[in-house]
Amino acid sequence: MPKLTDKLIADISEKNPLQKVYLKELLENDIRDEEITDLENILNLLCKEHTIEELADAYLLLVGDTMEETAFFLRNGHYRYSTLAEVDEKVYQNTDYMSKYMLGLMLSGYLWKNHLAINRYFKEAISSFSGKNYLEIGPGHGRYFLEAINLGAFDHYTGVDLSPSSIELARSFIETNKVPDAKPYDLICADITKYEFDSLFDGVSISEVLEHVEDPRSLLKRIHEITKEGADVYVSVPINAPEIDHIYLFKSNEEVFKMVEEENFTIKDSFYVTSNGVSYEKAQKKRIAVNLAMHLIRK
Amino acid sequence: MTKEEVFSRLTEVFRDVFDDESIEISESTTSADIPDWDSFEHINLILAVETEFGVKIPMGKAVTLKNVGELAETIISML
Repeated sequence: MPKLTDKLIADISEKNPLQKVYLKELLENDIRDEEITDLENILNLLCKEHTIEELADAYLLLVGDTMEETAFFLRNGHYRYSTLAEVDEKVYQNTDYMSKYMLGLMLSGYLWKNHLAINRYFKEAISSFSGKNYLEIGPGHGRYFLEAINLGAFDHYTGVDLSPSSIELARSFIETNKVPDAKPYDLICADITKYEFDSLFDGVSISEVLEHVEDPRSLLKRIHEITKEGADVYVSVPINAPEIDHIYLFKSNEEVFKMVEEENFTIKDSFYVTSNGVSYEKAQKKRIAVNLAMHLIRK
Repeated sequence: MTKEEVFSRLTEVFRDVFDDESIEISESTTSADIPDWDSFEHINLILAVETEFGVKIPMGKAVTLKNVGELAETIISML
């Protein structure tokens, strides 16, 4: 195993016995060689500003907080916060916590089986997208945005995120990893519901964003407004998946399907994975998290 | 409460959470010994332990427990 990945896994395993068992199985059975190579490249980039111990701690902070929020959810039947104002005050304004949280999320993209599976589906779905203008809403750390840029199927790429630190992280990540002949891109720090675009989009990606807003329907309506008829839209959302900044609780895949169809999108394809590999029925019964992703066509 | 009493009640908690009446636990039992013991079931286990013993174990502490012996010691320290 590459040096930094090996060190990261060893550090996490030493501090968290459950993760030791989980990661051993992941490395033996689930993660692909090219994903380990990607993880090593990301660790090389992150280690310019962080030690491996700091990265392991950021990942374990995410693991611990996810478990804490899951315990809250199982006890109460709802997420801890339900308004943007609450999470803004308790989470987003805490820049130290946010920076660790973002690092943890970036690493979970390689170390959580459900995230690996969704990432693979994203790559597959996005490979069929093409056109003039591409938009990603909430690029976060920039991994998906980079993937789209490197595919090069659009003339121009736009990423819009509310968080200035996400914009900076994504910019640095893309500048370091984009292909030499990458098409032009813009990263804009703005509120997607208010920003005025010059033209309509042919392709949109919105991954793990709808659960962060109070009214996901209005965001779907906004996507409809800023896309061309027939545009490809990739949407992913977590179901019954408590995190400290998730405020909208989606309870089932069916609820999401109904919502996107009512907002004038056709479901071309969909994919889901439960967080610990159980059946969808069991996940629903025990309120285990499910990650759902869809390739939609704008009507 | 003695350690034996804690282990006796813990055994019932484990059998209930993992839905397996044949489960036997010891101080050295770890998540590697019980096939369904993943992060999600760990949370269910801790919630069930909290209900059974009337204690509150923060998840930050719960994730560092290396075996059932450490879980039992944590419970006893909180009673």
